Amino acid sequence: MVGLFIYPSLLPQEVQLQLLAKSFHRDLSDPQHQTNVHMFHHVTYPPERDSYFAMSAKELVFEPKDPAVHKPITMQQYLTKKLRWITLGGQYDWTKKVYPDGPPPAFPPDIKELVERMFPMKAEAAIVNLYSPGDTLSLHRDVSEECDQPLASISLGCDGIFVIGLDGAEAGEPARVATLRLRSGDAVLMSGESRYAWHSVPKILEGTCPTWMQQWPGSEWQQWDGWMERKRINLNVRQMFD
Amino acid sequence: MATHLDAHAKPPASIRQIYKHFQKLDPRAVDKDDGIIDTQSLHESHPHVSSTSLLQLPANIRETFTNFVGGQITATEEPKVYSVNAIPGKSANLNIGSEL
Repeated sequence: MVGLFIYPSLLPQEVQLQLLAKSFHRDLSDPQHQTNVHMFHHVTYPPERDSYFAMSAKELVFEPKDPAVHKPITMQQYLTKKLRWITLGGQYDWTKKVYPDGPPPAFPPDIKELVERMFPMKAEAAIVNLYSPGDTLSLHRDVSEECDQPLASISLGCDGIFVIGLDGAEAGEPARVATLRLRSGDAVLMSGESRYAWHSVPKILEGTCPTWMQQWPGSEWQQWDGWMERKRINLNVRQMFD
Repeated sequence: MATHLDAHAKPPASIRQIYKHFQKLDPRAVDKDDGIIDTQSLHESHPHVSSTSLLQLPANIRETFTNFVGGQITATEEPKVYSVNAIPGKSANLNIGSEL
């Protein structure tokens, strides 16, 4: 079965909140899962793999690899706007647009089991994208995996507009395009031709994060209470090999 | 790797125009835009999607969810799956992108 599939409101609230907790309190503090910030800064970690949202991480500062080009990043800057993506499992090289040689780090087993029970694929690599209103993801295709297996996408937080398109089926025919409004808890599966379709996120809709998620990570995390109110998180899971 | 496709290729102009349209769209106009498939409004006779039973979730998916959260989950409707009519199914190795 191939095509573009929508699973509206697939994930219950509790599952969505656990995905946030596992990705941001646990996996972000694991050095094997790299982020966009690792490219140009020396990323340091909270003591005992504590969460970056914890008080113990409050004073951390990431020094730039080249001070002539980049400035230090404080925790406030990191979690508010500088952190744009985290890679889980296979660590994609966004500059060279390839996966590095050698076996990839293990994919978080609990998220792997969840994804593999929902979708007909193996969860081997994922990119967790973070957006705020005004952020976009340009048109691109995900063509670097060594197999034609499906790609699963899970939305959390604010609504996002998702544009996906293929050229016309025959030369001279118009492009085949669909525009979706994706909401928190929705999942999308791209398989067959749509697996390699052009896709993008041209807009994040401010004020659309579900009420019960807005306060995440919650008042026990002090200054980060309400962090999710202006965020859209997309967990984009791929199978790397047949 | 999908060797028949170039990771550095530029997107077709027609799809780029649609991207720019939505990038510039006033958020207040989103609700009125008939071209947007809102996942909250899908149903059996929706003009842009088709209900499908070919990708059904396993019968014990609720158990998967409770295992994942380590506790109970709130009751939810039976999950449904829709295919998007504009992006039809076709095997990925059939000349996709040769002209992209």
